[in-house]
Amino acid sequence: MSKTKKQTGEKEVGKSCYLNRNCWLVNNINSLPYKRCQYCELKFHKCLFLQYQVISMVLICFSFLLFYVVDRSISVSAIIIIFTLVIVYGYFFNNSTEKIIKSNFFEKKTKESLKALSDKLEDRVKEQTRDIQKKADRMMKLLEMRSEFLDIASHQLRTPTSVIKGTLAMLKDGDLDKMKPIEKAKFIDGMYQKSIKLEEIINDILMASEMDTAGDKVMKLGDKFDLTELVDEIIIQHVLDAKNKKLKLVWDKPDKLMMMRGSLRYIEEAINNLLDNAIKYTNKGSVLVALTRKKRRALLTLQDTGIGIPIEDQDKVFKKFIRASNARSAYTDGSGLGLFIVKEIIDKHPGAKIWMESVENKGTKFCVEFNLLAESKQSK
Amino acid sequence: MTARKHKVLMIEDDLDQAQLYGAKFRLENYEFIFAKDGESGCKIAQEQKPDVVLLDIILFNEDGMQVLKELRQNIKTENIPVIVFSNLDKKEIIDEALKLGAVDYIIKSKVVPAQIVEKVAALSGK
Repeated sequence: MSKTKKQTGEKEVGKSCYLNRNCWLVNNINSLPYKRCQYCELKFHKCLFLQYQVISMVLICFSFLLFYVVDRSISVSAIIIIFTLVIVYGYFFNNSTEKIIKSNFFEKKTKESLKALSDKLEDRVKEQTRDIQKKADRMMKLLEMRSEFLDIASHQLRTPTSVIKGTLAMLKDGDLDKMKPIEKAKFIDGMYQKSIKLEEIINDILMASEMDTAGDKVMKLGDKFDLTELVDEIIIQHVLDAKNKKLKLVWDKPDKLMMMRGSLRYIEEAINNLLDNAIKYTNKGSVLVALTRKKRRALLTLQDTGIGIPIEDQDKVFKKFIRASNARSAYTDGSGLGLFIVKEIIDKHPGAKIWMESVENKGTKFCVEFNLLAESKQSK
Repeated sequence: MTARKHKVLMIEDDLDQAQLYGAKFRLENYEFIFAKDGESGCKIAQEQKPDVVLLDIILFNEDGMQVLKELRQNIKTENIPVIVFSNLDKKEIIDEALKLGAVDYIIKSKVVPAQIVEKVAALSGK
């Protein structure tokens, strides 16, 4: 029996044959009486085949009864007449409904096609609305980030500027001349240090902008260099900073060559930034730098006993303009761009990756992995 | 009898700023007191009763606004004029600081030490 439930019927809308796969005929005798099935679809739950069967049975029974009443027996010719009548009736039954079936079927098919199209359009509108909303949210977030960046950048640029300006104003007014030479020298040196800080902040802003717009083009990855030697040089540059903060700077230097290919200038910038951060955000304890090799991979780790990164900020620290909440209060001179720059540099080197582990108030460990060249196996 | 030296308390975590303004105020014959965080700043303000407080907003592990609130709420410091002295130039922050009772909000990079001395002199009646 054809059971035409919209939800269960497999319909092929828009095809030449509109089949109801729940139809008894389709399922049991593998025939494709599409007209009947179309009819079933139209009438919903009223299967023409069943109607035909019922009417035929009634007709046969009635005919037999009639012949029996009239003749008191049923002859072979009577049986033939009865079945011929049923077949002829079936033929006319089929033909008479064909027109209605066709017109109704196409009307339904059109309605369904329209409904499907309307649903599809509705889905697309919903999808596009979601997309637009997402883009608007992102745009809002970017505007907020831009505003936050401008706040940070302007504050950070103003901090050294105000000291330089103030010192110069005092120099101009003759105030510095009233001081002892040693004190005057201290002020001049302070002004000089602030100018360096100012330059660093400007460099950070420029480099972040460079990473955003043309990082791939400006970064030439063709330099061949020894990573051990590079880290060694960076460590030497930071010995004094660590000493000034009474920190123990430990360098677990490998005795093997770690030859790699990449941008020497940018890798130096990235490692320098990481070590600089480790010292900056560690008030007591140590900073341990280690470089190890595993087959053709080098692993550089920088572990400090600093303020750590709160868990809620850990997945954001590599993003632009983001500074951990405790970093903002611990060190006011940061641009919020350092780790973004580091990650961009590392990510642009094939096979290199960076990750971190941190516990607030315990310390942070930054790990960087690089691909090494074959000649790294030689001993130094 | 010698005239009393006017006292200026600067709550600031940037040592270079403190050093610069300390030198200028001392040259102008002020007693300059420096506190590197809000907690010690509030304590000094209560004990030494400065004529004017110069308060930074971004302090080590502290929010300058909170320090301003504390200074305004404490009976011993509620009448001390507080100048918020920061490089943070954000309207909402400026409005909040003035609402909390700061007498002025000055952007550090927009002034030179002599101008701050003038401002403090006007407030302290020197």
